Amino acid sequence: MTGHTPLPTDPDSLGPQCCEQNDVFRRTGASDERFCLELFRLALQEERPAAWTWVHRCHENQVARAIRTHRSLNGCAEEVEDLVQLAFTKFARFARFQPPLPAIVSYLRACADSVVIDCARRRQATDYALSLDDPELNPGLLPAAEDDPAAAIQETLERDALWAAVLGFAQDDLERLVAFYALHQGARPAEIQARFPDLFTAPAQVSQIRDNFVRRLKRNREILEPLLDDGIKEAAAYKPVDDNGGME
Amino acid sequence: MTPFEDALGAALFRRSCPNSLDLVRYYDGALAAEMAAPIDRHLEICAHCQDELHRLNAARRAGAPARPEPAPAPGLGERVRIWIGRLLPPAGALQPAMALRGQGARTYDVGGRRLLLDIQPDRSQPRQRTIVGRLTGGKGDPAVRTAFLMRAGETAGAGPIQAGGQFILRGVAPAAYRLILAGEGIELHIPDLDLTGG
Repeated sequence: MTGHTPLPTDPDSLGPQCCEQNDVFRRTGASDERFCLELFRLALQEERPAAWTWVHRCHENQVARAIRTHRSLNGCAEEVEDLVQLAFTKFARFARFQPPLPAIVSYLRACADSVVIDCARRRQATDYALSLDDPELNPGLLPAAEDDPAAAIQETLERDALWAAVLGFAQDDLERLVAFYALHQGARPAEIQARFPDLFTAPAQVSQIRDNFVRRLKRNREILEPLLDDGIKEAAAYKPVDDNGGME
Repeated sequence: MTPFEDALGAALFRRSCPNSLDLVRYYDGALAAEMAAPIDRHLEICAHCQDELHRLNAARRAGAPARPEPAPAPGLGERVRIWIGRLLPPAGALQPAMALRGQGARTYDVGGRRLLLDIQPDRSQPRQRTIVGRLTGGKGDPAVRTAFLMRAGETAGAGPIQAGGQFILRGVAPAAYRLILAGEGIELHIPDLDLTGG
């Protein structure tokens, strides 16, 4: 640590010192954290554009490295450079200046990891949307070890207004279970049956429960549509009137 | 599929999953207990989020570029359930039966199991620490076999976990670590093991 060096007060003086100390840290595992800490303060608290420029310059390699090492990058269509910018954007939006420096850098690292996850989730959501009409595609995943998920399903889903409303139309635990695994996890009937062989004797049984449940949701669309996101609501508005007549 | 079904399906898919930043902060042990608890519960049933944590953990531990590796097919890859430990408040009834001679005992709840850690001075290296641990509970859950101490994404120490759940890590330098107890298909994480005090 070289804690006796006078601390500059403007970003253009702090920036080079911060970058240099980052290099020192990479080589030795220790550094004078005051320069980067003050730079983050000027960026996050005082919103000084020059401070942000230096925050980018001094930390973009670190952020890019975090993104390149993330295992979910494989499922991501965006370029690393774009994700780096998204990470800094997210950091600028959500981070608060809360020393010490490792905590701030950890938050920046979390933003880097999270933009990769966001990217993979977008890809997964696209795959799921395509899978709705293509049984060969399957983005679903089933939990490996949960033996009695009913309570956890209820707890985790009732926090969301749309899901709480959807589950309100389920007539029993079997429908709730199928609704969760089919609609939240994106699992196919055969997977659900294989996961719960004691509950379902054949995939067709799961399909029937799912289809009955979805038909019930369709009959009650006037209740559910106000809970859908605006974009989703617009998509649903193109639909012709329910063509299945509400038969179960 | 009708447009309504498509719209509803798109709206419901993974809708209750925590946002990605919360999930990463959860992994880092940086969320307050009231924010972490719903994620604990969610992870019990959501394989998508479990998979995301697993990938995050792999990246943090290995530090190797991910781009060249082929992506595992959904549903076919190795599944590792990750549990993040929560430090329990000190209470006489929760203290370990083992000797408490050093920096102090800490008790964690991790995936329904109880992890007792006793941080002691290392007798042969006074500036360093010895971690004595014991994992109890979790009857019927997969066994954990190895204790890893991670620092800045690198393995700083490791040791076997005995059948009774005991393990010892000696010669540990004062620093902040992530402790990982790993077994087949399961990892128990203590993300914020700070050994700088005392």
